Amino acid sequence: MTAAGTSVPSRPSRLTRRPSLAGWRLLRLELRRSTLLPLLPLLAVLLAFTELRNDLSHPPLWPVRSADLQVQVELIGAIVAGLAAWTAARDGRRHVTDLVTAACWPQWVRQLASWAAVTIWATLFYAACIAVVFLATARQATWGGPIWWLPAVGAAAIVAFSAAGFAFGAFFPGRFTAPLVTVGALFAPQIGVLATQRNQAWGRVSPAVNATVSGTGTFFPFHPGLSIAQIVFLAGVIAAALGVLAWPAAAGGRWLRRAGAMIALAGLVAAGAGMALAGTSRLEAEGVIVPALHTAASDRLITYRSACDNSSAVPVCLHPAFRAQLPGLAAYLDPALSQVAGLPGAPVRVQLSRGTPGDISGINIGSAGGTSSAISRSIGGPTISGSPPVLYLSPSLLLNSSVARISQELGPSVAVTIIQAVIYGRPAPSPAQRAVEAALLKAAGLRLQAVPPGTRLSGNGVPGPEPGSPVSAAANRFAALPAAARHAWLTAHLAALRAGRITLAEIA
Amino acid sequence: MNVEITDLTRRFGRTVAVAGVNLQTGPGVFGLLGPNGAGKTSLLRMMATVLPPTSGSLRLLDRDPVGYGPRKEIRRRLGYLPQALGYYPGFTVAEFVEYFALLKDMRPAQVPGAVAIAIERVSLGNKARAKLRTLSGGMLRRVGIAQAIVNEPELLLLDEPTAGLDPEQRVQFRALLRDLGNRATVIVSTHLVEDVGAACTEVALMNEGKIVFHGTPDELTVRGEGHGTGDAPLERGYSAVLAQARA
Repeated sequence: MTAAGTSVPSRPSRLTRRPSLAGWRLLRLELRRSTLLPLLPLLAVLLAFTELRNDLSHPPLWPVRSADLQVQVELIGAIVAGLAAWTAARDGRRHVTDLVTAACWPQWVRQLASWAAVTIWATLFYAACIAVVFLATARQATWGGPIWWLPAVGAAAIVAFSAAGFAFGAFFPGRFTAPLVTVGALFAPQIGVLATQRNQAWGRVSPAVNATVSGTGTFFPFHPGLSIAQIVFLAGVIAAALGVLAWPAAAGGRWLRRAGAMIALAGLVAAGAGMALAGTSRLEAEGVIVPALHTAASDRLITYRSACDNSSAVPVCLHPAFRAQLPGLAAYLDPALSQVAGLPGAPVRVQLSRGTPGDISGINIGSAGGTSSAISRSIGGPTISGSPPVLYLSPSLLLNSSVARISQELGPSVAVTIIQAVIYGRPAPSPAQRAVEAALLKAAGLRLQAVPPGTRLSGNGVPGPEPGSPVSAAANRFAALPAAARHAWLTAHLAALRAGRITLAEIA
Repeated sequence: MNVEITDLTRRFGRTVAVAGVNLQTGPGVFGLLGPNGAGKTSLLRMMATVLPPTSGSLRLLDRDPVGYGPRKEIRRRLGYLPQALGYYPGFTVAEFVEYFALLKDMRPAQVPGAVAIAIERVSLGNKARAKLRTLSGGMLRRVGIAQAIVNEPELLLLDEPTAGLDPEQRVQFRALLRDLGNRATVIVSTHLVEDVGAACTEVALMNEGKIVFHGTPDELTVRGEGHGTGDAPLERGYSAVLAQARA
């Protein structure tokens, strides 16, 4: 230790002091030594194997991925809340309280710097998650763009979790505060989910609830009303939590404490307003609507130019958002379509049905309440209609499943629908019709199972004639023909077959 | 006078830690002696404005710390080393001192230079980038002293500053104290009388919350002549005054 010999800086005057620069330097120190910083790699690994992995396994649709990002905030938020509580309790835990109290800066300002450091790292981490998911989606998606409102709610939730956790840590600086806050923050958003399930619309203010339904952002526009209400609520939580920190006498001077009280009060008002807005929300077929934040002009369905695959027997056309699924879907449909292509009654095109938002989202409101108990979900199967005939697929099929899952879920029903639409001409099929149907299904690669005569398709089973029966013999005979010969025979005899005038013996 | 204390009392429940202390002191090194539990730390904490008095008045640097504005001004000109020094283990020496320099409202442009000087003055220049968790107890004490002097305080309160320092460091520290005492009021609470003898111009001895002696180290030495127990003259004065107070 040296007594003298080094000049010591003179005392700064009040006029030359620059608090903003000092505040920035304090924040820089806090950022460099934030508790969250060394834990970020661990958190990244945890998320990579849970939330992010789950997000990227969903269909590469921007609305789906955007909604995933909002919902995944539950896990990050809980961890951030716990770490913020841990940071807030730092002075007491490290016995630094006397030292920092004897310093000149108001406690509130110092606390805000500590909180800001945790929050900045947490928000940057969340931004990195958004970047990962959106970059992956940008490479996979074929149409549209992100719905930024949803990750914006997530970001606001991260900041709110951090503020609330910090306030708990500051007021209850115990050793167990941080773990308790983490557990509490993990379950807090679920209160809203439970309330929503119990028909309490205010529960939608929880960031665990997002404003989208199946088809939002693809077939009908996103309505940001609920997201706005959620952000207002979360901003209120942030302001209330940070304002409350200024209440203790040690927090600072009278004016600062008054400002803190005003901020806390404004925060409570905002949180109440957000909750009230969410309380007026309704789940409609096209998403969650907040009447005060909704304009009728935004209800128009999204127009799009279909993307088509012409490599199969008939063109398969879908919404461009599903362009990546076109080859797979065409390959799935082609075996059945190629058997009947060009015949009267055969589909000349495959496309998505243009139904109501309820048809698309699968949400049909049963009463004016718009609450979950009044909702019935229905996902329609493929249908053939129109002249010339078109095979319509329900958009909800593609919105909710990959091609692999669609083929699993629908099984042979599409092939049966296509072939029956061509072969059957009257309600009770004739033996010859059943034989031709069985032959075409067999030629399309399906495995037939014997069922009693007259039985219609049920479940995933494909009905077939009883082995050894005349129908089975005729079906085997017809299936054994070359595809061109089968097609030529059908072209010549289809009208008679549909009319029931062809006997089993007349089948080639 | 930089410190003017009148009838200052502090109670913790039924325990009276400081009982009607009166004290006035100006620039120089002031030693606060006393046995464990005498009330030295409570008195220092009140002077550091972290513990409000139960009764009595306290004026520091010609300001009353009751009001927020004057208290802030006092804190800006204050250096304080608590008895139990807490620290953030993840901070480096330089960051820890910089943190408190900023909290003491120093001009940001001056902070890096002042931090470097403070660290050099406690002979920790080669440890400036070391994390606090890696330092020994004596080094941590020196970090505490560095943060206390970084703003070149007008009132410096040091509670057991030499605890954990090796003999060489203690000698250097006493020299530092004498230098600081030329410009500021330095109040050193200690139970090591040799520190007082070597560095202090004034000394007070506390017992059971009261000041039972106030004078120069030489006057305390005189009080021990022919009385008391101890190896050094000052120790004999210390024990003689305490024995008299207890009687």
